[in-house]
Amino acid sequence: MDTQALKDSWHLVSRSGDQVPLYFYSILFLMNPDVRDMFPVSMARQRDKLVGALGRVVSNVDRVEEVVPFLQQLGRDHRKFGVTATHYPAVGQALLATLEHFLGDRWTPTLAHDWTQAYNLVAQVMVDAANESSKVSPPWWEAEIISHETRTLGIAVIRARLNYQYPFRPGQSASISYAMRPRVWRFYSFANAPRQDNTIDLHVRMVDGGVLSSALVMGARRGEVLRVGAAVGERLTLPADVQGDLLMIAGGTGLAPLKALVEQIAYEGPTRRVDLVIGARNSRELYDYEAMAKMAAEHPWLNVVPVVSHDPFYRGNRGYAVDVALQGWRGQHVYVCGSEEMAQATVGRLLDAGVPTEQIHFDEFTSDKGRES
Amino acid sequence: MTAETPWGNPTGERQPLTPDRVRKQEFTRTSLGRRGYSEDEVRAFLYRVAEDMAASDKEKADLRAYIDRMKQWYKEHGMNPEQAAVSQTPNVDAINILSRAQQTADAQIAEAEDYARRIVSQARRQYEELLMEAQRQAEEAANQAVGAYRASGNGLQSAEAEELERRIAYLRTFADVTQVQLRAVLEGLAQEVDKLGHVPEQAKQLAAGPLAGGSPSPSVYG
Repeated sequence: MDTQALKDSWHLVSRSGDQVPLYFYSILFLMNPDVRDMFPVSMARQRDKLVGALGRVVSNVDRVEEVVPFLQQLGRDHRKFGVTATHYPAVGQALLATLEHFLGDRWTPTLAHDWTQAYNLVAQVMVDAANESSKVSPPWWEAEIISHETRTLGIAVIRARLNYQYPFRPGQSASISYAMRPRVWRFYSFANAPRQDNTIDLHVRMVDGGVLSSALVMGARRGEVLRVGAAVGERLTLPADVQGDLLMIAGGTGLAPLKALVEQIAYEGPTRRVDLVIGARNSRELYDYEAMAKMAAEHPWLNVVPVVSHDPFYRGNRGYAVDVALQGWRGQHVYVCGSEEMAQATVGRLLDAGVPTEQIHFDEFTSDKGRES
Repeated sequence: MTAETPWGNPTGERQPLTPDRVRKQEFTRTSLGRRGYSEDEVRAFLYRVAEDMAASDKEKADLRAYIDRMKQWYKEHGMNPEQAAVSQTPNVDAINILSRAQQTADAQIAEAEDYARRIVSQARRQYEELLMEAQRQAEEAANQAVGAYRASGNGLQSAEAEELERRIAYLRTFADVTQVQLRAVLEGLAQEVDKLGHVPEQAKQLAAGPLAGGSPSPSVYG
């Protein structure tokens, strides 16, 4: 397989931008109309994703060790959309037809052969990974909402019970979808450590105009069922080599994974001092402060500090969470979670203040992943 | 830490803009509050750019379709030896029609989402302002109540009673100011949020109507 030829031809094709995936999906749906229903009505974001994923695979095609884990994850993840092994040849056919169309005269039999081989390899890795994971887990779990509390305008705390045992670690997140907004998936962090009764807590903030978050905050009711994909993410978990005291900085509903970590420490130990600074724009957005204060009262090792940035009537700490947190930094590992904006600003301030990079834990994709998908 | 690099393009090369990326482009706020370009103007301009891009994409697709038709003609007239493959894939005009329909749907949904986003953020801002104003008035009323309590001085005053007076006055004013107005804002907000979900659903039913004999769509999970 001439990997350079693959890369070069992809490079050429991808210069046509949005037209490439547009053509690809049109041809795919015309040849397999039943597949259309697996996608949301608007395909704009989907097209970006396809090009992104293909670009990543093709650019790394000669470094298998980098592509394979990505493809395996992709294959496992696609189970939740109802993709089966039978769909892969159709996609391959549409891909080859698209390449041929955009490459014109440069589409030679040799190149066609190489692309066919490459695609079959990719499909095989994805199908294998999907099959492997189907032995141990369902394509998605169903979670019945057992409580839905609107804590303030635009923030709800939802508790749901999963239908099968659900393996996850505190700090992880999963993509979730809701019947009122079919085929829309979005990542949310769990706000609890795993429990005996198989329930999970979600802290959902309504994103202005966000299709799924709005529906979950304003529309979801007790008794309704969510779909939950497999848990993912390692960046905010607490590995064995992170020892000693911790400093946590939460912005808004970024509290969720940090609360899960606090629960983990409470359940499993080792006991260590945890300072948790909860930042919010106004006092109403300290939507889970009561629960956190209660935990702090129960656990002498836990110190919870609320900080409010934009509320002239707030009587407690006013300012940005990171500034208050930095006053208490004594060499601990720091965990940060919040909106993309908040996380970036916070991490920047921490670095400026001399906190070593390897001691800062944050998920740079939390907010990116968190976008509606 | 750009979102694009790790996922999309390890070679670090600039990806072509897509209409959707132009529509969703965010700009950093200037540090001094709200100075800078008018947000509405920027937004309107982005929409125009996106439309132009979509139009030029259409034109290119037309040109490619034209080229394909020409090639086909040459082939059919025996002027091009390599005949094989090509024909079992769908007709290039069909592909174009579907692509255009999809682009139209994408643009309309993006517009509806943008509209919803603006309405909701406007409602949220209104809500914040109302609460802030109510808090201000309540503080004022509370201070007045305390002043009146002190002035009524009959030697039996206590700090607790004074605090109680303050809180009662605060809460009464706060409730008065917020109740009616907030309810209106919240209702408006809930309505807009509901619309957000119904628009595509309605459109789907309309589209399915004539062909499917108006039968209700199957399970929402699809």
